[in-house]
Amino acid sequence: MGDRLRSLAALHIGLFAVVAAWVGYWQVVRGPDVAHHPENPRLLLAEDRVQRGRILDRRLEILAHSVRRGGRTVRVYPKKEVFAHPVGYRSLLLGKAGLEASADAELVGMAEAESWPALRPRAGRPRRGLDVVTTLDARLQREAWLALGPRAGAVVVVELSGGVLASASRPGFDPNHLEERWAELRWSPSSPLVDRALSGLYPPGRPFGIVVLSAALSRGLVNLHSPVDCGGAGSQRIRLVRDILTGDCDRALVQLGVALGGRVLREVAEAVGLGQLPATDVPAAAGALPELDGRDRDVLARVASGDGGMLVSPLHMAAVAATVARGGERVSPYFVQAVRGELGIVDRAPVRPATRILAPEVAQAVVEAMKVSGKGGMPAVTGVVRAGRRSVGWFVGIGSAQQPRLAVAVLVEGAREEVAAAVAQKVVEAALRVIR
Amino acid sequence: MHPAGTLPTKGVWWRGAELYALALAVGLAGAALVHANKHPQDPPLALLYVAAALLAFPAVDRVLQAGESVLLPVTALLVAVGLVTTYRLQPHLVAYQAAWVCGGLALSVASFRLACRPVNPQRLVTPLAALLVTVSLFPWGWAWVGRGLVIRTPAEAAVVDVASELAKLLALALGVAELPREKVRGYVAAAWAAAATLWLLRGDVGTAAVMVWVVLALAYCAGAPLRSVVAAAGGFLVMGVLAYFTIPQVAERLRGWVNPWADRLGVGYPLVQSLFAMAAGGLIGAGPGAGYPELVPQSHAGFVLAAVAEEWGFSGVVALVAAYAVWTGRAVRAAGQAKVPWLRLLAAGAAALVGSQAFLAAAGAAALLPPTDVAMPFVSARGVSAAVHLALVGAVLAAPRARGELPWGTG
Amino acid sequence: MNEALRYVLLAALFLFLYRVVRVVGEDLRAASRELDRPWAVLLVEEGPGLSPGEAFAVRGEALLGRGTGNDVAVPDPEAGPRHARLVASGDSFWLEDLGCPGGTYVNGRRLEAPAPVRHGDRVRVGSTVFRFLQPRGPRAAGV
Repeated sequence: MGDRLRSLAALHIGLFAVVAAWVGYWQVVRGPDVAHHPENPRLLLAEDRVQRGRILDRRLEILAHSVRRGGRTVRVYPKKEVFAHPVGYRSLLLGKAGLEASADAELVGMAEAESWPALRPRAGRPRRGLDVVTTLDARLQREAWLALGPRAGAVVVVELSGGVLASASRPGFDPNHLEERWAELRWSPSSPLVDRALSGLYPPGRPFGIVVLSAALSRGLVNLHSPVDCGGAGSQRIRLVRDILTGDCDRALVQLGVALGGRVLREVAEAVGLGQLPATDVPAAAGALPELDGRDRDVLARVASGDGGMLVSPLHMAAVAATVARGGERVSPYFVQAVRGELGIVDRAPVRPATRILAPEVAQAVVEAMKVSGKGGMPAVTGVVRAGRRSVGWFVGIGSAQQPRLAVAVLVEGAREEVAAAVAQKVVEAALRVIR
Repeated sequence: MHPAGTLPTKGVWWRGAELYALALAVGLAGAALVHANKHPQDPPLALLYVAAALLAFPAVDRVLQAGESVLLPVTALLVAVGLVTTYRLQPHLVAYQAAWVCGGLALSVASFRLACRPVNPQRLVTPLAALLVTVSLFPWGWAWVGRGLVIRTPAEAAVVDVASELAKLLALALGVAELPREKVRGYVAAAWAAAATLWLLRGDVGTAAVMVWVVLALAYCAGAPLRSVVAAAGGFLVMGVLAYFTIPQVAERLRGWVNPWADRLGVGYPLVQSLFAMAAGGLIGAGPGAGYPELVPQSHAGFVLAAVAEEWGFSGVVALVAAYAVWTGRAVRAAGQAKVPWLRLLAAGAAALVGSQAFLAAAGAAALLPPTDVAMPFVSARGVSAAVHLALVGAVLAAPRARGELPWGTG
Repeated sequence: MNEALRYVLLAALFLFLYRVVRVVGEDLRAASRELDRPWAVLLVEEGPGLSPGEAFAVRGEALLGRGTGNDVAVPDPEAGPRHARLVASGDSFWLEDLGCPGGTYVNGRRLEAPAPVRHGDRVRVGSTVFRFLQPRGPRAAGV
């Protein structure tokens, strides 16, 4: 009898020990993984108890901040539609986009400890998240926005270090009134929610010639003074390689690409960042770079002319121009230059070792060719391509000829390259004023 | 010569008082935290309710003078945790819960007094068996009446709760009355089997499992051969398997348990949310009122462990589970000290009743076993459950005290 | 403030458990000591609130008196609330009167000082008479 009572007690106490060990496994050993599961609703809810950090431009002008209004906290975007795309939005209903999404961990203050307990409110008092200082310039962004005018298109201005000075896309939307206008924006045929600068994908057209020419020069296939056959008739038929980007000599550019071969062409395109995620700290489209090794002449010819299934964003092209302008060192664009807490800078954008992908002479030669095609203005390549049923005008250039300091890519839907060039002219003038 | 005067006297009064004070501190600190985090504007009435319910424990201890220094304080601690989680998750129910606790304590005084008298429960076997089957049929009848009147009575859930608590208690009482006999009468065994089957058919595996568990524990303690106890447990498992194939609710529960992540918005939802809550709690928890246990369905009742785990942390879970282990251990100790056969069985059966429910609820919330709707005794916000188990505490405390015929083993 | 309260909560919780485990441990040790101590039975012969043939098992130590707080509860108006004490020492039991007016008698003689009781002795408390039985058998009887 006594033995049976003892085993009854032992059975129950043993079962309790098993439960405690099991809960301990899920709570302590596996706890961190499970708590960070993206479907854990606590992650979203806990943010409400955190005073979300601000998003600032390079001069600490406010691009987004949280304001107490009528007992609840509202996210306010003082620059309205001008910064709608790069800054993005945050809404409990609609989720997050842009920097609000990609810098979310910093904005809610997770970067400090990077753990779930850090998110937990301390004794109910809302904690402050960290401020994100971007590389964007509010004045230049406004200039770019105004320069685009009512047309659909995008402007990207990149410093040679990679910092993005402006990234404007039209048509835009006002992130302060997103939820009430969501259905209209979502189904609008002009797709105002799409960030054309970062996620709009287009065939690059003639500006891809920068890549073709870089490849040809670096493989020693030609030099700037080699003669090329531009087709057509008369005295304009035979020109020099330095004129190849002007637009009168596209036939020679295609022949150059075919002569290089698919493998080399793809190698160089990849090296300058095409077909890959262009930016390191915001969501952007990777684009498409078709497989070229062993393909026939026709495919190669189409790709060399900047089409044939190849898709890039304006940010891609700005990075390509910046790489050439920097003397052949690869430029990876970024948007966040620092993260600041209440006591000062917490984290800075990492300084990456420069990777050289083109010899300085080659880069210099490409800039020379771009000076020729820029027709006395800034070094640039322009072009028109067909994207779907409309034509798209491109302008990819380097700000200023004397001293390269920034790269610009302008894209205008439904317009000729002259329109893009006019936009670029205004933006670069403003940019050179701004970064002085 | 024996120095009798220097021997320690039994029942040091302050030892109990210290434990009650600590349980009160736990209850008040927890309720104050919930108040500060969740209802800072309201008057802190809940603290009064918690204090009143917890101060009733030392009062009852003083009245009973049972000489058991641990069982009632541990019960007070469990009730303290329960009142805090009730205030957290069902703030409108905390006054009722406190009232149920006080009523349960009054019942415990009554059951203590009753058990101390020379009672012979043998006479009650037939009425108990009849009552057990009736109570198990009651939810069916209620549902049938409700359907006839074309009303979905909101009281149905409450009726089922009460019937479930009573059925478990009656299964225990029937065993206590019948099992001191050498051989179990056929109709008694049939009543148990019928009651368990009725609950199983309703899809309430938890109630059926607790009933079977308690009866088998009683039979084992009364000296039934281990082989037949294991065989009966196996029979119940077979019935559970049959239920899986025939009763959709049971099948759903089981699928949700086998892989909760596969269908985390459907059948796996409660378990996945429960695991999220536990993971969010970590070692010391968010603090009462500072987590999100309301995201877990049924976190005030069957999944109360998830709420404790999130807000009190793993340390709180360890404390809770340890308290249950101590409770069952002390109830079994009381059984060992009992001098009357039926009280010995009652104390052992109470240990099995509380132990099995605490285990099934905890294991269900932690996905160790398929979840059942069993309430955690003393902790879940189910007033009837708290009152029934508190009434049982009185009888357990009486077990070592009550006098009777010659104890076993002396003849 | 809240943070402090959280630690108060945890501290109270674990202090409680620590105390409980201490008590449980003490009781377990006492129980194992108890098993080695002699045991005896007080068999009721006559008394106002008890029927002849009822028995109380005594192991190690027992309090006799009115009220349920005693190990041997004697519902006898003539017995004191804490009337006498039975204490094991070595292999035998000693009976001690706790100073109630009625007095405690062994085989009709009033106890003046603690005295040993033997198998078969009659113990009177108030008007209740027990027969003291101390069988010399196997010790652990499972009680």
